[in-house]
Amino acid sequence: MKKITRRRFVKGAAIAPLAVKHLALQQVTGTSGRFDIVVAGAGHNSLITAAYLAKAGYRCLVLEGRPKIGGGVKTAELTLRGFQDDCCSTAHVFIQDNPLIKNDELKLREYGLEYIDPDPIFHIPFPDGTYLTQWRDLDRTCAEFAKFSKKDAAAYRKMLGEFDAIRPILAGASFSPIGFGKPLNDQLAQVPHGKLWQRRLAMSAWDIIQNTFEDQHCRTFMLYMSHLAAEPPDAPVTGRLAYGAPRQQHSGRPLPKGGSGVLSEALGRFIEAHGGEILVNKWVKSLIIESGKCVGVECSDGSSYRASKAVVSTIHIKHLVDMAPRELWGEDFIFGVDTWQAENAMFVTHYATSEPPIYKVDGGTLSPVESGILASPYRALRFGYDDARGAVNLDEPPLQVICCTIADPTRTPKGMHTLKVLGWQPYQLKEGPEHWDKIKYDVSDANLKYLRRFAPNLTNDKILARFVESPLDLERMNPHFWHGSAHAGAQNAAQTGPLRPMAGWAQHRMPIPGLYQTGATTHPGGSVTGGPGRNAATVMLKDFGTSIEEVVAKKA
Amino acid sequence: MPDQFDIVIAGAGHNSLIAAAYLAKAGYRCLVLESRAIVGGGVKTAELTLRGFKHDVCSSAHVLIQDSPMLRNDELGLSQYGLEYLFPDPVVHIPFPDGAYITQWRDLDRTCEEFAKFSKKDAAAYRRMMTEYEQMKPLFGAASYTPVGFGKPLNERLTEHPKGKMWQRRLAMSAWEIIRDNFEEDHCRAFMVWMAYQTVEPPEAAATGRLAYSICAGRQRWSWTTPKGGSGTLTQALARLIEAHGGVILTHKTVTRLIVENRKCTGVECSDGSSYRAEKAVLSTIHIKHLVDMAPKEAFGEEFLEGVETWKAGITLFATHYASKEPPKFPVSGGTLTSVASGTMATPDRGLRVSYDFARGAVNVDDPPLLIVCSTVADPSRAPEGMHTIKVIGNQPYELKEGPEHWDEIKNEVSDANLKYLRRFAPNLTDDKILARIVESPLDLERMNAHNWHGTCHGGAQNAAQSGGLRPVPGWAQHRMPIPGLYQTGATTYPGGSVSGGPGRNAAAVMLKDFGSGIEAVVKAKL
Repeated sequence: MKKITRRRFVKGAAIAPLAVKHLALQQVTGTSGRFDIVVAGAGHNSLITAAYLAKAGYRCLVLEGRPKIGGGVKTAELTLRGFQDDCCSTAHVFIQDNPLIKNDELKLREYGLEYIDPDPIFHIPFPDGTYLTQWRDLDRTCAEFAKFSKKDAAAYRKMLGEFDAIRPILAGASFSPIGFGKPLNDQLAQVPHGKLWQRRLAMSAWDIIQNTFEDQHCRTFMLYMSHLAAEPPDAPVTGRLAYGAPRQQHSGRPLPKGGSGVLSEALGRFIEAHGGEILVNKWVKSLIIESGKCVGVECSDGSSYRASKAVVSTIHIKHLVDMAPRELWGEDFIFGVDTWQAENAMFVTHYATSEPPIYKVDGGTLSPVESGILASPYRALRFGYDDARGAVNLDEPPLQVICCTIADPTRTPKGMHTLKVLGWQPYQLKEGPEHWDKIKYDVSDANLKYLRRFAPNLTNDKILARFVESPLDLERMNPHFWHGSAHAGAQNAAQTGPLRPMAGWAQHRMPIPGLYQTGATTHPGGSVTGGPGRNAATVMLKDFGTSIEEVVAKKA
Repeated sequence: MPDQFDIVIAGAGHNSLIAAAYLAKAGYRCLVLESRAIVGGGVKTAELTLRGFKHDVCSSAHVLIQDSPMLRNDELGLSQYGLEYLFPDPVVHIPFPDGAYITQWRDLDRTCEEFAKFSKKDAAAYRRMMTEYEQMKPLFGAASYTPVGFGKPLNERLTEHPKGKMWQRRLAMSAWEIIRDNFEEDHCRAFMVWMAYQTVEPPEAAATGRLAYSICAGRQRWSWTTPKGGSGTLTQALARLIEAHGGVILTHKTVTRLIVENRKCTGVECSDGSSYRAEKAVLSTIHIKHLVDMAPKEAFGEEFLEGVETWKAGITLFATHYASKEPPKFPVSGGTLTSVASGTMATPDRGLRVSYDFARGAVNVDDPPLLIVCSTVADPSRAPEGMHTIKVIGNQPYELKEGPEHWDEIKNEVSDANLKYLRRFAPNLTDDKILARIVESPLDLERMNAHNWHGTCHGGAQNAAQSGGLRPVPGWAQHRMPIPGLYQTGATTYPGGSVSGGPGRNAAAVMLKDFGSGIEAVVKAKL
């Protein structure tokens, strides 16, 4: 059995109140009986779907297993009282291109959502003492590249121009359901340089970065940014990820004021304001099927809820298929679920600190909201190999370091900070995933030790508490993080576009009539995009005889 | 020699010879220009070490091409021109460091027994996978032997097939994911990884899923098929057929430039100052990285040049040819075994490491995965009596950290390390059995054949970005090049490298259609 030291016990106990403390927006004990739509699970995507459906006038009931809604878009006190940690996601980058936010379709500001736009965007210090900082100002960012190579500075500017030109097409494809509109490939075939983009999208991010940049620091920076969605950057068909840095040059990496979860809470308020209900501590455990149709759900507490029009699920497909008789899913869908692969999982430590990380820069120090560590381009090319072997690699571990309180002091007691340190390690260890419980503190210590080479101020006396989450813990915390996958599963060639979650079933309509699927297992996948949520609403509203455009245009 | 030709063919690889053969059969006067002394490109046999030892210079196994309409339907009657195939048994033997081994036999049951030594479940998985692939073979075969855009795209064909949705997923997965999920035992996994790796795509790369099935299934069905007399017998037979149909083949003719008049390609110039005109078309099998230097850049257009610019070599080979007194003899229960083909793959993990080493430009001779070919086991005609040819192939990056020229300094050591490792499995291959060797680094492969650009034997990586409608360049996958009158075949075109004959027959299909005929009509026509 694992030895639990007193110190660890105390730290573990710090989060214990979470289990009992009720954090939902509003305690709802009873429901008003009849619902058009029952939504199983309250992640940001299913809440978005519910919000559009509620706006359209459908009575929605949202059921959430945890005491608090939000899924991967949630903020809670993970370390100490008064320290608001983002449990999973932090920056809301991709969702800025979603018509939901871009066109302010649901006026979420009125429900409490406000974005902060940190500058600098990202800072990467290198082992040789140099660094590269991405600023909101393009010229200033180019000057950072130019420290290493004028050619690379020009290449970065050129990449940005190329990406800007194609961005409407790429975003359009992400924020349209599969089959609604021209396939991406057809659209690309018809625009200038579209053929080159067909090649680029099928290449690896590393191939593109290696071709475009000559200096190792610049390559490292670009490679780091391409890996933030946790796909190995040397894998085929990751070419789009090479444009990670340019894509956030215009949008920045915005944070909701108060925490990532403010988005989910705003959506929750919106749904309730539009006649919907939200129940927490409701674990959906099975689907109610009558005459071959999904008509409701049953929860682990014995309660059941019926939907007169449809059930929307954001339950991970690996679990969803166990919630109705196997034969109802059909052979193809079951095959798709059986062959579904996890992603390179995250390993997270949350800290409560009395200082942010302080990095040395020319003429002083810098404390950015987001920073990253990647020793060389080659270190990032090793993820796939280590993951496939189930090997923990603590040699110069690539890290993402997030300290929101620099831009948003409301999240902690005065002068204090929340610090999230993320690495990437396999869920499937050679010794089995349970081995994580034995090694997670050592792994967390090794990450911190390496981070201190760059931010030496983070000594033990600055650290008030920590909360360690191995890939196994991530799955325990949220079953949608199947095998530690914060994006529900790899977002690779086999699991994107019309193959997500499975060929033939990518339009949110599940094999069981009346059942729709949203969340990260559906197009366009994981991350805070809101794409699966809005796309699922688009499909459902069409099936109900209206359209999302009509609903958006509808006056409140 | 006649001085007027309809078609001038620049380069004589097996694909351009196949295209020329169909065109000659259709009645077009063809001139084939080859820069080396012997035709064949990567499908060539020559005395590389000692007199009387005929080595396959590049390819040995002719498996894929067995499913081509050209051979399957005997469209060209190549047996009349000297082509005869051997089907060795055993097919492939893989010995492991712990003394265990898996042998693939022509008999499926016998191969399954080899897997069952390690896991009954894996034996069943092997049988199931071979069956599943055989069921899809007509669909995949039809897609490979149809030019891009000439029939339904593969994806549509799959959508209409009862098992097609599953194959859409499988094709987009990595070979390793499929192998790991279907096999539980590490020897079985290592065998399958070795097989999946035989077209040198990294088995963990996305969209290599078909390779988990196709290479193994091809060998299970056809064996390690090899032409009697050597791989080059195929290209020699094609050359004879072309000449018998009025075509002319000239060697020592290095094409250096395309003649472009009024924006049309009308002929070629050679390094010796000679030039040849084509009345109908020029067909190139010159690597696209060199082709774009043979006419003014603007003639190719920006899109095509961008596509060539982003072309990647992929995994490259390192080869050593030996003349020897003995074949490799592998200890097996009850004696020793010799096999035309054998291989080493110490663990499944070792196969997953290749692309990481390539990205860093690092030579890795730690337990090197190897392919060993000893064709003389099945075809003694290739060497003096009792003697053997042995080819040992590993994979090492062309782009070394120190630059590709560094290969000249280290190649003999790398070759020695491969041999030393092979001796752990075939201890009989002592120095006294070895009469001579020739070492070919990735750089040497490129020097030997300019089409082996950056050491690649398949024209370039056959990955997601360089397959199907993206090969060689998106928008230019139909063999018609941006310069009117110029067609492209060979491994840089669909369906890609290996001895498939697909690019050759597909190019002929496109050209014949453009000339107002069709390949079906030409095939049907009596001679």
